[in-house]
Amino acid sequence: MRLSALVFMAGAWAFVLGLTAWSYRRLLAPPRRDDPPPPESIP
Amino acid sequence: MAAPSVPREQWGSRIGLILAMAGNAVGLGNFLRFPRQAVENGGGTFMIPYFIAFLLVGIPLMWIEWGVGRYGGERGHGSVPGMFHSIWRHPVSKYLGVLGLFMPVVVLIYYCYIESWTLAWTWFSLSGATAGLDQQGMQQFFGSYVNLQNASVHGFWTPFLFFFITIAINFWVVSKGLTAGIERLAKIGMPLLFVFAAILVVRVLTLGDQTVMVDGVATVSNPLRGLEFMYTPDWAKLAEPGVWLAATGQIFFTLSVGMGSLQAYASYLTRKDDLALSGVATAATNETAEVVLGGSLAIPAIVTFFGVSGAVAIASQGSFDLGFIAMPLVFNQLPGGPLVATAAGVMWFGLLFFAGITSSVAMATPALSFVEENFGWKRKQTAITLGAIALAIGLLHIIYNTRGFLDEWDYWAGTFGLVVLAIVETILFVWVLGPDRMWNELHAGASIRLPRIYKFIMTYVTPVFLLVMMAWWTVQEAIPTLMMDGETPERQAIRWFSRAFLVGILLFQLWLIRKAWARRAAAGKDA
Repeated sequence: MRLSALVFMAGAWAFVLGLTAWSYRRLLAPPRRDDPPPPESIP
Repeated sequence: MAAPSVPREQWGSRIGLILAMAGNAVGLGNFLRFPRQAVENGGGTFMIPYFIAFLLVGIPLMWIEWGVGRYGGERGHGSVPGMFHSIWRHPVSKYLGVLGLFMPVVVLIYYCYIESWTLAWTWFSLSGATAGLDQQGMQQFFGSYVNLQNASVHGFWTPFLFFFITIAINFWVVSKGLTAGIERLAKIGMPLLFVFAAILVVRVLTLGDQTVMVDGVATVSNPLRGLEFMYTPDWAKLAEPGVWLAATGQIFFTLSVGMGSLQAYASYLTRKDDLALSGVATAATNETAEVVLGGSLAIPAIVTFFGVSGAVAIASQGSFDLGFIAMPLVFNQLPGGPLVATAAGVMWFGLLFFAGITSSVAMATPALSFVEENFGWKRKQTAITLGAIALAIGLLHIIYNTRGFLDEWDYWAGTFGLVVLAIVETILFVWVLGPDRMWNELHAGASIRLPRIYKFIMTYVTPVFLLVMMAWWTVQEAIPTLMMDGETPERQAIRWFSRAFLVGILLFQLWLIRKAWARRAAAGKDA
């Protein structure tokens, strides 16, 4: 397999699997007690 | 805020919601359309515009549709006409929302027909009907099915039977309601889909070297060659506007945005639900199914047994040839004999069926909600009536499928219409509601902060991207399609009939919206 093809495949897989893992880890984490601050208050 | 007069159902669990939303997004296109698009549009380099479109159009539209849905649902509306009316108190807004009824109903009808093929081929795999067929035999088998001809193992009536079964299953599921029907289906269907796909990916990627005949010469091929073929970058393609449009189109289709079904599902959310993170999880689940699983199945398998030139020839025939002709041929050649071929066929068409049905039940939801909420019908009564209508109209697709009837619906409702609805909802949710209010809506109940750059992207970049896309499609495709360039007189006649049918459905739905709002006004509801 050519290196360029491998790089593109690895990059695409890393992006989607990383995003999936991150989002499910956050989803399955116990809910935080404090409500987040309003978005406009974030500098 | 006007509270809904009747309490609305709610999702039973967060994971059920995510699976149902992801089920809506994951469809046949993840496994059949995506690999073909990637191969035809630059291989590895296709992933660059694909992920840019995902970040600039896909994810923002996902959030916008979840936001529009929840905003309308909190005000008692489970379909787009009412959602638009909640956002923009103008007499026209509810009529603009007809797009969110028209598209899902129209696409649902022909999508169920395609979905019925997957059910039929699951049966054909189980019964051994496609075992031992060569390429020509497989093509004849597929042709005889879609052209309603008698064959050794099926009659002309078989497509009608499978279509009836598919419609019956779909509307039985939606008649059970949100948690007992749709959510339960997602909790069963989505894990099965991923398990089937994962097993097939492992089997395909461990096939090893196979000797294939390419132009009369024996050549060694293997799955890695398939992946190489799919991901080798063609940098020149990046300069072609058509590739960028193809990538954006693929993102549209794969995430099921611009349809009206995501909004209908999101209307069952409450203020405490997390749109921001759930939207990302849904999109990410879909992308995993598409890029990791969909990209590792059909093309690597077909290249292994037919070589690169064979795969190109099959892919050029269309996505259905890839799924319904080439893949059964691959299964027939798997080591292990008929039992392995049968198991692989059942898993492949089974996963396609689950991908299809979890999308089609979502498409049925907006129309069901609209009728229930505005005309006081019970869910079962509504499901049976809509199912009967879909069945009756779907017969036209079966009869006229190969003569352009379906193409007309697929283009206007399943392609062009999606961008039109996306533009309208983006303008309403971001501009009419206002960027600040939109931003706050998305963060209500959220456990994450969206990157601030997305406020700018959703306000300016996404609408411009969509307008450019629509302008390009209008010039490149919509006008030639409207003029029926290159069509024979017979196909033109059928396409006109098909088009008139579409206009009839649109006018009927506009009339229903008018009736609904007249009833709301008479009942003293917030019309």
